[in-house]
Order: sequence, then C-alpha cells, then structure tokens
Amino acid sequence: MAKNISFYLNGEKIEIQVDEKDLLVDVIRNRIGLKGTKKGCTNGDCGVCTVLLDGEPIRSCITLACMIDGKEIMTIEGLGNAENVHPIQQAFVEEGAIQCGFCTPGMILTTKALLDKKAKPTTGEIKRALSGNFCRCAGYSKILKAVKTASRNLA
Amino acid sequence: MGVILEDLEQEVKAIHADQNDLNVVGKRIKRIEALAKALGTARYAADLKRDDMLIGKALFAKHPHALIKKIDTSRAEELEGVIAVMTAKDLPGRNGYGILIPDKPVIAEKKVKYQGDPVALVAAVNEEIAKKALDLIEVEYAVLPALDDPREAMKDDAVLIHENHPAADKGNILTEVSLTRGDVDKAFAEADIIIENLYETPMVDHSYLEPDVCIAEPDPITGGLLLIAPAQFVHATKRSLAPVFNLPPNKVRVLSPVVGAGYGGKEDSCLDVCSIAGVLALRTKKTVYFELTREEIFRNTGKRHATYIKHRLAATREGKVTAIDVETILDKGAYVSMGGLREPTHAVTQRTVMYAGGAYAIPNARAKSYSVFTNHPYSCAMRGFGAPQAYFAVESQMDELARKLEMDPIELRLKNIVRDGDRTIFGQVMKKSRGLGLEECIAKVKERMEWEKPLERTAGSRKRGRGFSTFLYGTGVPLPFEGASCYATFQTDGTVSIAVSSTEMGQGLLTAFTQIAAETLGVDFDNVVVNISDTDASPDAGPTVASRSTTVVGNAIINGCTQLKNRIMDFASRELKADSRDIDIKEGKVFIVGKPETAVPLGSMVAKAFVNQVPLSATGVWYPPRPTFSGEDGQGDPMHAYAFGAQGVEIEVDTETGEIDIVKFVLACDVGKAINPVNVEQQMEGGAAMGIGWSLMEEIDMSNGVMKNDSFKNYPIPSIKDVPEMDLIIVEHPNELGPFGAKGIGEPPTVPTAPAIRNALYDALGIKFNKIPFTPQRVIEEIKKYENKNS
Amino acid sequence: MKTEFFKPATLSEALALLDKYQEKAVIVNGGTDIVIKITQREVNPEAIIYIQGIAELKEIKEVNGDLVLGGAVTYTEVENSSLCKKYDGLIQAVSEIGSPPIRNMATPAGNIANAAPAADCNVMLLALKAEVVLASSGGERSANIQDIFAGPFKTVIKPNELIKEIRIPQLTANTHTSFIKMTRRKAQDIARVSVGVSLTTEGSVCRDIKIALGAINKFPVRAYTLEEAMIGKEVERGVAEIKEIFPPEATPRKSYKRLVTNVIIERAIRKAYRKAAAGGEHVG
Repeated sequence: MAKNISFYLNGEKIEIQVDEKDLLVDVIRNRIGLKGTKKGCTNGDCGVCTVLLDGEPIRSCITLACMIDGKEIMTIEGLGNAENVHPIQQAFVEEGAIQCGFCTPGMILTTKALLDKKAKPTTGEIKRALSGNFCRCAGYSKILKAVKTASRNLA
Repeated sequence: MGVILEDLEQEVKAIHADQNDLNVVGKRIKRIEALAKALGTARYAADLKRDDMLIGKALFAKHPHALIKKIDTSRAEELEGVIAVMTAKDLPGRNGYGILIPDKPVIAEKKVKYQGDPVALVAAVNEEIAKKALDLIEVEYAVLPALDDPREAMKDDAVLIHENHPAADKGNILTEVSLTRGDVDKAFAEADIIIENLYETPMVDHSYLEPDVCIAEPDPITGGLLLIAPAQFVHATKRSLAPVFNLPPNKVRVLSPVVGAGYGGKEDSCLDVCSIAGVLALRTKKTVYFELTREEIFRNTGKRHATYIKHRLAATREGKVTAIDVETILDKGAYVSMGGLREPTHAVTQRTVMYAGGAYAIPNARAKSYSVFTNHPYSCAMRGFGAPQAYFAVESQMDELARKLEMDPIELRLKNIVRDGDRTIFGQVMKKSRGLGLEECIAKVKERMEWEKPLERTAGSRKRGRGFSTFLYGTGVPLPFEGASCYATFQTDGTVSIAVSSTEMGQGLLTAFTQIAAETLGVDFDNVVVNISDTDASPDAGPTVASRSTTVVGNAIINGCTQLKNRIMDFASRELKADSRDIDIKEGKVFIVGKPETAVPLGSMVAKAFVNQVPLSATGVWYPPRPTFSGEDGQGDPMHAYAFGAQGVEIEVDTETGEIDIVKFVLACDVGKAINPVNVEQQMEGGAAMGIGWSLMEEIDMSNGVMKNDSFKNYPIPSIKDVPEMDLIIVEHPNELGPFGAKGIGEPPTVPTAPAIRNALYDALGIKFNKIPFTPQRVIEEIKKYENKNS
Repeated sequence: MKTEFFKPATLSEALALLDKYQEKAVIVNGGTDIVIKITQREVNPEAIIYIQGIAELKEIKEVNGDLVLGGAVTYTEVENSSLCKKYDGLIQAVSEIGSPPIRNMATPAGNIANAAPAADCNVMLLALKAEVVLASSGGERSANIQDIFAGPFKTVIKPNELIKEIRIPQLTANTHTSFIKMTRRKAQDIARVSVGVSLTTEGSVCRDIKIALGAINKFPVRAYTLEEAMIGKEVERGVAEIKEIFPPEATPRKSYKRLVTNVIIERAIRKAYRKAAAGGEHVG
C-alpha cells in the first residue's frame, strides 16, 4: 500500500508516493536519484548515510521515509555544487581530508550541523560531533584539520 | 653505538641534490577526484544502479561445513517476479574461480565449506521478491564438524575439508613454505641467550565502507559481459571469471569506477560478486544488480589470515642476534585466495617466512609456515599481507631480548639492522642504491619520542610505558608476472591521455600518476587525464596491491611518456633544425636548450607531428629485475626495493580497567620519494589507524565455523576518538629503480603498530602480551594473573 | 500482507490504533532499534504507529518537583534540557549513547521498551528509581522501572500499551548522581559494564545510595547488597568495604567482568561524591 508524503529536500518541495517500509536512504538514492548519500550498512552503525533532518544529523538507513513527512532534509547535494562549492567542502579538499570518499558526504554534513551550532568548536567538541562518522581510510587528523579550517573560513 | 642525526642529514642532502628542479612531482597537489567526492557527485558502482536492472540475491550456506543432500527451488521459481533461479547444475562454464587457483565454487554443488558458499542464486524484478524467493528454497544438509583451529585442522585425523583439492600438500594443509640459512642448530647450541614465545594474531575484517557490488550487463554484440564493480585487479577478474562464463577473456570487460576502499579485500571479493551477477545476467539475458549486505560482507568475503607463531631467537650477550627458528601456522579458511600455492605463488604464506627475521642481518635462520584450510571465510590479502603478523612476533622478541640484556631497545635494533651490503634472512643483499633509510627513520623516531628522557611511570592506577618497533617491507609482488603496461597518448592538441588498469580506491594514485606523467612529459598537470581500471581501455598493470602501483606502474607511465617525448623531440629536431639531444620540452613548450626564443607550443608541434606520420600513442612497460624466491629454502630476491620504517608509541594503561590510551605516536617511513606528500601522509595515517584497530579492538569471533560478530555493532573499528594525534615523518632515500626514486607506502604503516604497543605494555606493566588485540578484557585478565602470581 | 503507516496526532488516537492492531502493530519512536527489525524482516507488522507527532509526548516538564520525560522525547532533547541538567548521572548516561545522529532520534522510552541488558539509560533510570507510566485505552498504570523488565529484550508492557512518560523523583539537595560505562572503544559502543549511582550524603556520611548495574545480568539490576553495606557509613569507608564484595545481584556470563565491576562502582560513587564535596549546588 502506498503512502503520500511531502517534505523539503535541499530547499525544494517534494511530493512523492512511498511504501510504508521504504527507507529514507533508498528514497533519496533510488526514487529521487540523488546518489551523494551513501549506503554502507543498514544498521545505522557506520555513518555514510548521514543526512540533516531539520538541521540535525540522522541516519537515513534506519529512518523510514514516512517518518520525515513534513520535515526538511538536506543531503550533500544541497550543501554545494561545482559552481558554488561550500567552504566546508573546500576545506576538506584543501586539507587532504578525502581518500576513498565514501564517508565524506556524511562527514561534511555532520560538520555543517556542528558549525551551524558552534562556530568555533574545540577539538573535543569536533571529535564528539563526528564520533558517529567512521572513516576507515584515514587517521582522522586531516578531517579534524579540515573542520577547523572550515570554521575559520566561515567566520 | 648510536646514530648521529647531523651525519645522516648530510648524506640525505646529497641524495636529494639533483631532485630540486621538479615541477609537480614531490608537491602537495590536491587530489583530482577530491572535489567530486566532497560534492557527492563522484560515481561509485552502486550509484550506477538503474530501475530496469534485475536484482540478484544469493542463498548462502546454512552451515559452515555440510554436505548438500537435496535442494528444491521449485517454489521459488513459481513466485511471481522471479526471473531465474540457479543452482550448480545451471552454470554455463567452470564452477570454480580464484586469483591463484580456481578452487572456489560459484555455487556449491555437493558440499559447503564455509558460511559464505552460495547454494542457489535468484534474479527477480525487485529486492523484496528476491528475498522472498530465497525463503522458498529448501535445502537439506548433512552437517559435518566444523574446523576452527588450523593447528587442529592440520592433524592427520582431522576431518577433510577438500576431498580432492588440486593444490593441497597433505590433508587440510594447503602449502608449506620453508626458509633455511646457515647453521641454526649450532647457533642455538652456542647462544648466550634464547628467547622463545608463542604469538597469536586474530582474523580481522577489512571493513571498507563501500559494500561489494556488481552490475553485470550482457553485451548484445559480442554475447559477452560487462562487469561494473569495485575491484583491485580488473584484468585478473576478467581472466579468472571468463571460464566461469564460458567466454574467452576478450569478451569479458571489467570496469571499476571510483572505489570506496579495498585494503586488499576487494581483490577477491570482487570475484565473489561478479561471478554471481555475471551468471545471472547470462541466464536472464538482462542486466543484473547484485550487492552484498554488510552482514554478508562480514561472513562471506575474505579476511586477514589469523596466525599462530612459535618464535625462537638466539643471541650473544653483546646483543647480536645469531639465529631464529620460527614456525607459523596460518588459518587459510575455506579457499586458497591469496594463501599461496607451490612456487612461486606462495603469497601471504611466503611473507610470514620472509619477514620472520625482521629488518635484521641474522646469519642463521629457519622459518617454516603452514597454510591450513579451516571452515572459515577464505583468508585473503589485507594491508600488510602477512607482514603485520610476522613483525608482531619478531619485534616483540627483540624487545624481550633487550630487556633480558638490560640494553636499550633502540640500541639493540641498531646492533642488528641491515645496512648497505648486508643480507636479510632470505639472502637478499640490501642496497643503499635502492633506498635504505632505516637508520634515519630510527634516529628521527628516537628524537621525537624524546626517548632519552626518563618517563614518569605511575599516576595512581595508571601506568605509562614506551615501545618501539622497526621494519622493512618490499615494494611489489615476487611473482614472474610482476610488471606493468599502460598506454600513453598525445591528443592532437598536445594534451595527454594515460590509460592504466590500476584502481583508484582512495590511495590517490590517480593524482600521483598524473603528476608522474606531467613531470616526465614537461606538460602542465591540468593537461593530463588518467583513465583507470577498465580492461577495455588499458593493458594489464597488475593488481592494485602490494604497495606497488606508484613504483611499478609509475615506471611504466614514465616509459610510455618518455617514448612519446622522444618522438616529439625527434620530430622537433627536424622542424627546429637542431640535434635532437639539444631539444627539450618544459612547461608545455618545445625548444632548443639555451635558446628560449625558439620555443614553440607543444600543442602545435604535436599537431604537426600528427600529420607527418608520427604515431601519438605508446605502450609504456616496466618490469623490475626478475623476482626470485625459492619455496624450499626461502632464498632469493623477491622485491627490487624495500620501504623501511620505525615506530614509537607511549601508552598509559588503566590497571584497574585494562583500558589503554595512546599518548604519543611517532611513525617514520622511508618511501624513497614522496610523489605527493599529502598522499603519503594519508597512507601513513590510515595504515597506522588500521594497525591501532588490529592492536586494540578488532577480532572476528568464529565458533564452530559460525561468525558471531558479523556487523559493525559487534566489530568495532576505530572512531575519531580512538585514534591519537600522530607524528608522521616522511623519510626519503631514493630507489634508483623507482619513479623519481619512489618506493611503496600503502601497506608499511600497518606493519609496526602492534609490536610497538605490545612493547610499550611490557615496559609499563612488565607483562608480556603475546595475543592481540589488547582489549581491556585481555589486559585486565593478564594484570590480575600477574598480580596473583606475584603476591 | 501489507503494512500501514500511521502518524497519530494525539495520544488517544495512538491508543485506539494499538487497541485495534495489538501485537500486529509496532510503535516507532526514534526508530533506531525497530526500523532495523522491520528491514531485516524480524518483525512484520500490519501497522507502524509513529508517535513523534504526539505533542504531549514531546514534553519535558517538572510536576511537583519530579522530572517528567514524555514518551517521545529524544536523548538529544534530554541533553539540551535545562530541567534535566541537575540529574548529572542522567546527562552522563544519555550523552554517550551511540553517537550524535543516533541520539537525535533515539528515545529513553524506546530504550525501555527495547529492554537491552546493556542499555545505558535504563541503568541510570533504575538508579534514579524512575517510574514508567503506561497508557492504554483502558487508562493509565504506573510501574517502577525495575518491574518493567522481564528478561533480555522482554518487558511486561502489553500489546495495547505505550509508554506515556517517565517520572524521575525529585532529587534532594544532598543527592548527587553519576554514570560510568566501560566500552571497547571510545565512541558508539555498547557497554561491557555500566554503573549508575544516586548518592545522598550528610557531610561525609552516606545516608542513602542506589547502585544500578548494566550489562551484568539479563536486565539492569540494583546492587542491594552493596547499597546496604554503604548506608550509614562514612563514604570513604563504605567504598573501601564494598570494593571487596562482588555484588551477588550481578551474574555476568563473561568472567572478566568480575574483575572490573567493583572498580567501576567505586569510580561512579566517587564521581557523585566529588560533586557533593564540591559544595553540591546543582546547576540549573
């Protein structure tokens, strides 16, 4: 049985019919076609599926699409594009904080949520905010540096 | 006997003198694909999924070791929306594949040997129906005892896992690799001191974040297949699977887009998904999408070899190591993968023998390694490829020796490390000309660790300790086919296309290769485009493994570009009326050396050459000196150059809970030449983080062949809070055969972590931890045991 | 069989749905436990009742001095609430559960309903002697949290009931709370051993103490034996004494937990006691 939901995706209103058990990550990737949000597990354990719900990071792989009816979702595509690269995305590129890139969209969105709330976070606050975004390629230090650079550039 | 840093610095300055006029190699260039990854526009294989694709699913073995008595797929076949159901009898070609030997079945026929063996495949119009179809397949098994421990599995009376394995030595023993050098028994008889310990290292998971996936598309013209999947060795994927599909290799195309990491695992797991997707695509004549769930990745794909190492070491009281005698038993899991066969393809088994003596010139050595089948996931390549295991043993031995001799651990290393002209236990002469920066690595780590400063040992229940380890690690694979080919092409406007079959999986080779090509040709970095990992577009560059790509493939790129450069300079010499030896190309201009006024844009010279019958494409090729290694006595020259390194750690242990904090972490690696220092730092950091995970928290828990922790919830990998600040030092002692002097760096940083932490624990607590990971549970249990013994 | 998704706007709507579907319904609160079960087909509900839209369940309030958490309040909302600040132990427990994206969705009520033996918030609520108010179409009933758990992942909550609110009794001026858990890694990990403490002191004497243990039995338990040994004694003396007694209420399957439980208990008590010794003024 299909359900009609309506929500804001990267500022644009979306009206769509979904199945009650459809996961948000699948709706974003397959129904709407935005592939920047990744799928690494379906347990909410790794963080690559992170999107922002009303500005706060959530795991789209353990969220039913129906749960976000009426809400605002931001995916990585909503943050910036080739003509308008967001300073956080730029900082990640400049600081060498990107290797295989699979954790990157989730990492960047979580950073956005952090810097929106706290413009100049301490190292401890950054680590806390990113503690649910796992990166297997890196030792995280360049990611930390990128967040700090972004925080300076956004000031 | 110490190392004076200033002396070394003079030497190093001399080495680097002639490398000062590089334009783009050695510079911190931004990754080419980084922006696309940051924007979320980079396309990984799963992003190419289309709605019209069929969804493939596999029913995997219910038991880790069992005979298949009966299988009934009729109810699944009747389900609406199911397009095909396949069992072993439905396969078009050979029911077996593998990088070294085709012993892994696409679909298990009579027997399952581990949880990851497929017993049936389904293709359906959507995922829900495919999953339902799996539920409707009925399989009757006759359960057999499952073997967990290779030490048990190698006994004569152990239940046989492979009845007729084409390559197995005896029973469940796949292979045995031996090394002998000198007179080991005499050395032990005469030794002043003998250190003997049994070490154990666990099975661990690669945990690459991008799941294994394959899109298999039938080719309507050739009747062949296009396989789009994250891979590490596209040409081997093609070669290994062509017989499965009953197709010649020239009708199988393997294309790997940007890959979300592999760390060695995707060399094999790619075959697991491509074989299934491919046979379903051939059967349904439609494009099939097959992705593994995270649980399936844990249970079914390859893992790091677990090892049991008995290490004996003999030394004089002055601290000279005179002999080692090592026995290693490796858990091979259910299939060969990269376990190693007869000569020369001993793979991981061979490395445990080769590195049993560490980075030391030990005159007498005996090492024997057994690779033994169990009912576990097949053990495959994983960053370090047997070296982390071997070094855990030998570097822990060295530390104990230092303590028994009351000698500083670093001083002991310096007494024994290989220097220019020394032989390793596998008999290879280490050469300064190939880059031998071990002493500089050791000196720098010692300095940054403030090693001479006394350590504040105790604060309440917290104790501090320092540990050190050192290593050498070869660049490349010691196999007869080691080498690489690539294509280098000038477009008619002078821009450059390079085609290599290597995979960009986050290590930055796309950027490094662009740098190498641009530097060689004298063109702008932005005017070079490198095409990667498509078997149709480029010849075989070998696997993206073994820390070999920058060096081996980099050299092939230099070769191809040099051919192109020479052709244009040759043509230009006629155009500019000068001797071709007086022509050069720099910054996109062709000119007579010393006469800048003669400069002509490269683009126009190339355009002219094009209409003057000058071919604008070249095949670049490079082979190292032919690798040798005997599986009988372990002697040979397996790799042409070695990375060297040293690791220091300082830890704080909570003796009441067993928790470990890494307070200081210093790693120095000699990489020959850092083509892109950012890439090198990233590899050092990431490799070290993986080493930390292996040392402190990661362990696959198998029980009677069943994996207990098959998700990230129960298999912890390091979070941002678990990795300490790292002091990373790049050392460069150029390899005369490497591109601009480079050697490999992808794996080495994972090698020294565990023993350094273990040695720090020994220093802090006086307790020997010979089994990793050092979880709080293990640490506290050992502390209590030690306290009870000494009270 | 198809599944219907409901987002009731009021509690009575939700209760009517539960009456209709009973065990064929699942309540989705934060979803962090239940959605996985739905995707992996461990449960196959006819109705999904999503309760985050019910305003009265989203309230955090003080009623007669007691702290009341609505049944749909998330961990992040607890962390950010000024009313919760003085319950140090609750904040400590809640702020280390999972990771920030999990805390943005997951809820204390959901944690109770899921009844995992290692659930951090449940352990702390036990130490705080929380009451769980269950609502159904037939009315409300309230139970002490320790009577809710029936076994690992099992509760006494009926199929037509949902958790309306969690009531945490007011802390007296001399009561301080704390929570410590031991994990394998420093973020997003399930506790190996966890301890929640509520300590009431008079000067340096322990007047009352509640010690709750997690991941050490089929469900969170109170270490009554140790509590009795502490009450009436000087805190320091009591701590030294109970360090030697392994709580019989704990029945860990893993033997190494016997080696660390007492240490964690001691540290949790000291953590609470430090607050008391520091002047003891509650923040907020």
